[in-house]
Amino acid sequence: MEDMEIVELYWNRDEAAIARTQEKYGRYLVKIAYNILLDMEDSKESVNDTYYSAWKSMPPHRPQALSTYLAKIARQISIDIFRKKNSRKRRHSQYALSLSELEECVSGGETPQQRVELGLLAQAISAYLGTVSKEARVLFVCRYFYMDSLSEIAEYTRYSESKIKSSLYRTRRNLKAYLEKEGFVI
Amino acid sequence: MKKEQLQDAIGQIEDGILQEAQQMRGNTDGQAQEEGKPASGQPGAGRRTRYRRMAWAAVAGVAVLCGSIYGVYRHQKPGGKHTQKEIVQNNQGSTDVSLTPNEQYMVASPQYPDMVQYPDSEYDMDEYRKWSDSRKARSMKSQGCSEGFEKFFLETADTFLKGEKGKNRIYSPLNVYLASSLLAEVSDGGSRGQILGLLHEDRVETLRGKAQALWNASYCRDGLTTRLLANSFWMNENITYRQDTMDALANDYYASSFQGKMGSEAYSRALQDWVNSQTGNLLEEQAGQMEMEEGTVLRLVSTVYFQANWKSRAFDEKDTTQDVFHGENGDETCDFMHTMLVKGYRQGQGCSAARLDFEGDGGMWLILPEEGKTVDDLLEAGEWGKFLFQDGEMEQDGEYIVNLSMPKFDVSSKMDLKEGLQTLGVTDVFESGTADFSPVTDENLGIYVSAIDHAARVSVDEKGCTAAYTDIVLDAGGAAPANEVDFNLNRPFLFVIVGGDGLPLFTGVVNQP
Repeated sequence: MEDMEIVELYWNRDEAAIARTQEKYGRYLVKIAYNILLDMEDSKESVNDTYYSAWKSMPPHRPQALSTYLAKIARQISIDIFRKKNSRKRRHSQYALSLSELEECVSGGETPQQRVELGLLAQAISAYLGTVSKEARVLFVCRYFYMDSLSEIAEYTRYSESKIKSSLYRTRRNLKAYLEKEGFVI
Repeated sequence: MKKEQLQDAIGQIEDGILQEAQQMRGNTDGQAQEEGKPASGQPGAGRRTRYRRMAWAAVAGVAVLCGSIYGVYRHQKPGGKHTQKEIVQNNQGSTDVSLTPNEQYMVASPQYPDMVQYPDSEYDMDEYRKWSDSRKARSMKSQGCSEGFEKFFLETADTFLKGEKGKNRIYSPLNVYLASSLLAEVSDGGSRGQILGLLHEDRVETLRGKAQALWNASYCRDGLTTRLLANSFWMNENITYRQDTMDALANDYYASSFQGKMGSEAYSRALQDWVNSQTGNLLEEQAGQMEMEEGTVLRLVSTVYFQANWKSRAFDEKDTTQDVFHGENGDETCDFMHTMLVKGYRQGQGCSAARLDFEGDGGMWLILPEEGKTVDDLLEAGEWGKFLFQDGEMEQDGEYIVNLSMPKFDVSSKMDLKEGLQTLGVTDVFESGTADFSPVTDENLGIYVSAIDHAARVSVDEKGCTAAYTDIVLDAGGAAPANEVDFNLNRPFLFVIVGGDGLPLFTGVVNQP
């Protein structure tokens, strides 16, 4: 079923919307959740919450790209669960690992006088990613949005892991400089 | 700014940018974007051959089968027209010292197949396709060769893996199958009939075709996977051999033939050098003990050398911990490697099994008897190996997340296969009066098999991992396992190393890691 038809089901308050979403995107969303949570039960719970959140948000939203819309919800819900239910095992989750890599882009300090507005920061990151090569952009998103492991990225891009690591390092370093230039207190 | 804020903001970047990456990862509905590129996190994602070459971990296994055919010859005839001694004299007038020891004794040698090499450059798609097409063509060519071999494996593994309590045992069914095929080829009458029976074949011509297909399915030297199979005949310089038989063995079985003075140090050294060269020196200790005893008429030596890397850095050295292995001879502290798997888990009668994949193809099955049962109980029941030959994915695939703990091990064993083969119905070749090796020589030398030694070594470890990442192997991607199981190989277990077509190359029992 086409995405627009599924969105239409949501707008018509047809419960089949959830079933069709699950059929088409269930595994994709579980993968995103599992990268963060490293626990299948929690991942399923996160994806169920994603469906519920999608049900609540459509309408009024009418996403043009249902897959990324759902991915963003699943990712954020999973991160929220991660923060609530952190465990020893999850220190090895791709979320924890990618977070530690992003550490070099920020100071880690509180900036109460200039509270970071996430929307603006997201816009700045998007703008920055628009300035780098497609290859660097894709690798960055695969690693820090989808939180795929380096070996998985190497699998589907057919780049070596050393090339991926090197590209990510350059993109992170330049992102920091870009955000500072844009006035963000790093 | 906190890193969490940055991570949250990345969660809100523009859809267009996400879609670009999504295309690279593969469609979200499981359809591959382009040929050979299944969606990440989707079924099939882990089944594609990896393009890159990384050495995250290594498994090195090697087995040597020494089929020693000791002759009792009553009518020694010095120097037949095809003896190596004469060939050397005729061709060079005297022994050519520029030849290597092996070459000096060689009477027939095989031409190993050329293979398209795995590309050096990670980005050379044309070379990659050539390599990939070549692999597929080899795979097609060898389809169906496992028929007969499966039965042989299931019948013989139990026989050869049972043994002295508390000892490690390793058995290479492929090696023994190929060596037995050679024995069938060089024997006749009842001797051949019994071997054909063991190999589940009626005619030696059919067996020859199967053995060739098995050899081709297993042999690989393409820069990514190394599986080298080699066979050789070592003859006494005083027998008159049939050149047509030796040439046929070279052509059909890739077997080298040698002839020299049994009991001489030089001929023994030539044998040891040959074994070392075929096994990457992993069996140096065992090779050093191989001596060409005076009185031996013919000796058959067959080797398999295997080396592969774990797929997707299955183990990280930083996760390795010391733990206790509860062996039959007592507890032992050793290094345990840890990883998580989301596919390749089976539950069978009295045991459970998990599979680790190698880069390229093939993998290792780890089979753990259920609590309260021993490996010998499992072997006795005889059901444990059947799942290896089941086609396709099992229902249990994807249902479990497996927390695998596995000791590093480097095990070797040496056994005489004679008694086991006699149990399995091969008796004539071991008796001077009944053994018939007429295809080797027209002379009536009363050749019989006095011993068949089988030595093997398998070492498993994690190595080469310098990245600071410890993640699960999510080859099955989005499959949603419902259960989590701990698979702790902290007591005696079985393993089976399979090649690309699922053919068992080695199987063994680890009692002392």
